[in-house]
Amino acid sequence: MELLSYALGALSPVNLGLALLGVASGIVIGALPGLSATMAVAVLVPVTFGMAPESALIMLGAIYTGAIYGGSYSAILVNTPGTPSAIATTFDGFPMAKRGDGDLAVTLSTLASVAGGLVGVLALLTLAPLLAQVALSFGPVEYFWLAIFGLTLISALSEGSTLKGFMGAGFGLLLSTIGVAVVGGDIRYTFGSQVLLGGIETVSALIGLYCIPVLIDLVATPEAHLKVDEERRGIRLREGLGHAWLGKLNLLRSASIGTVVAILPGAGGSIASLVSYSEARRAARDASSFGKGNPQGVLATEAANNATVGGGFIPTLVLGIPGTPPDAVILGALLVQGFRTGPELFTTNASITYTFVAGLFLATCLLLPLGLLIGRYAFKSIITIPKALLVPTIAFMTVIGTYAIRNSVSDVLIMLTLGVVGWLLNRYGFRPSPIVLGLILGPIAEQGFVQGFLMGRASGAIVTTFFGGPISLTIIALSVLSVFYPLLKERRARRRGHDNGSSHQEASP
Amino acid sequence: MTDANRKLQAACSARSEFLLPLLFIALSGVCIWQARDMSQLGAVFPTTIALVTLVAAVMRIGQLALRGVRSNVGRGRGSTPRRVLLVLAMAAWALAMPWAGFLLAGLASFVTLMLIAQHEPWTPRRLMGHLITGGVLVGCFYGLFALLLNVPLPVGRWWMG
Repeated sequence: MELLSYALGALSPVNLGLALLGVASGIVIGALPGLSATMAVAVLVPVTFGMAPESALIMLGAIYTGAIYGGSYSAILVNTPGTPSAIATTFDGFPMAKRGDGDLAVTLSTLASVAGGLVGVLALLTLAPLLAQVALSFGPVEYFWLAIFGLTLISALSEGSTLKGFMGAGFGLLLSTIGVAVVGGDIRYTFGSQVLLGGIETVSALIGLYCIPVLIDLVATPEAHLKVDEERRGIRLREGLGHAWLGKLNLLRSASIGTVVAILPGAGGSIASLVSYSEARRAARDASSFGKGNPQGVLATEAANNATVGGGFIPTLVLGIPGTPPDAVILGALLVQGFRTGPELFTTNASITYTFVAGLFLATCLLLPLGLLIGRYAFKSIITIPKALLVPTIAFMTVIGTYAIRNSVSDVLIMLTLGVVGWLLNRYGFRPSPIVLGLILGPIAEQGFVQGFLMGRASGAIVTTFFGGPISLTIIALSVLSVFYPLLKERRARRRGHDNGSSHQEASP
Repeated sequence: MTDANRKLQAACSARSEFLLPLLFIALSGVCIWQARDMSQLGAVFPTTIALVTLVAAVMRIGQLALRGVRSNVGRGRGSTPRRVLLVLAMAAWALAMPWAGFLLAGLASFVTLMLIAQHEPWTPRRLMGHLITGGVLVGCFYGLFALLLNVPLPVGRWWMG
């Protein structure tokens, strides 16, 4: 009842207008490669300081929700994740757009984002104190195994050759070690260059590896960027709803994974979407169609990354430990508004907590009409804009987006170099996804591994440290399952096909 | 299964399919060699990863040698000079940015990339339309980043005296 009164309060015309503005600006910023949700929230936080507390909280939630969703546009339409959490959306989103289903992919991403967002908010509202305890039980070793679990996705992403996938992931992991070591402070693989001391910025690398190869191939031929259907099919909402209904279990599972992963500080939307993609693929009957434009792939990743919005706030609000970087910025704004983290979340702080949750809920609901509207416009722009304008526009976004991350021209050059390397490797059958996976998971895996190693050495039980805990064992079991289940499934299908073939032969005269 | 069926399909030419794993072996070798100067804590992770990459590359070469490899004759074509020009134009853009300033370098690069990407003949109307649209787009992005988001874009050392 209390929540309802706060929700009704949030529905005033001013707050509704601010939520609309927040979602729309979040979508636009999130869709631009290089501008992450963290940046969108950080840049717009000062704007909220002069507002009434409830309006400020609603607007912040709306910006964050919109930015996480907006990343899917560029992932689907130009194969460049607008935010790191949209990496996995490129796997099936871009192939869908290439074959002329970009409009459907955008609609699916909107529906999944709304569903995922609502699950995250619901978890924040009902399970916050309980789930926050899970975050506390994760130590360095568990993080290490979580990163390894993410890396098992390589076998799913390595189209053609798993060995090539391992080489690509190794390359990405080695790239992640450039610069100052996360533990110990060694300076590694900089070859004396000051520029490489800060390491390779993940978002710059993402832009380079995904976007530059697209640009290089775009200028080479006069053909259109995406296949365009003569027949105008609108937003294809009914078709999208059909896919979402078929994949309701996938949606629910992915949103739950997104919520749980987001509870772990530092894990973030990229790991959530990768893990949920891996699980969707493992559970699917037609696993081989993943990576080739399977709508369930888009549903899984988008449901997971938007569920991280609500999930990430669980440790932020209950423990004061931000689940994701934007949560840290919003926590700062909440503290300015008089919020105090801790067990009084739903008692002393109820007014702020409920208003904030109601704002998140409102923003997630607004995502549906706004997302479909802006998505349709983005899709139409991409397919109608002439190539001579599309290429410099995308190039401009990649350069300015990369530069804006650390105000560094060197990052732009690194991005371009990685883009050319990515294009060459792609030509020789190495997909960019395993490289990116290695680059993202490398620091998490290394930090967890080295800290776990030190803990184990200090206690004289390295093996028990790594293989002793129930959470570690569960993640190890899931990793083994993730690697071997597709192989077992394939073997079973082959055997079944063989048996059918023999019975046909026996039946025929 | 016939011999032709057992052969692996290359993504490119059969020779290049052998070349890439060799490059990965060299890369892993360099990484392991460089790790000698690091502390034990700093070296353990990159050395392990380099070893795994090396093993994967050796296994790939073994796989190719044992099963044989078929060249991919149906590879994607396209204009290589345009590809090279795009990369050169973007590199020149990044290098010129601190000197010429973001706006000027951006406008010049936008026009250059526009010319590289255009395959049909230019008409005066199309050229004017594209130039105006390009100017507006660059202006909008500049306004968004420099004015709204307060990103300190380079002004240009040439103009700073």
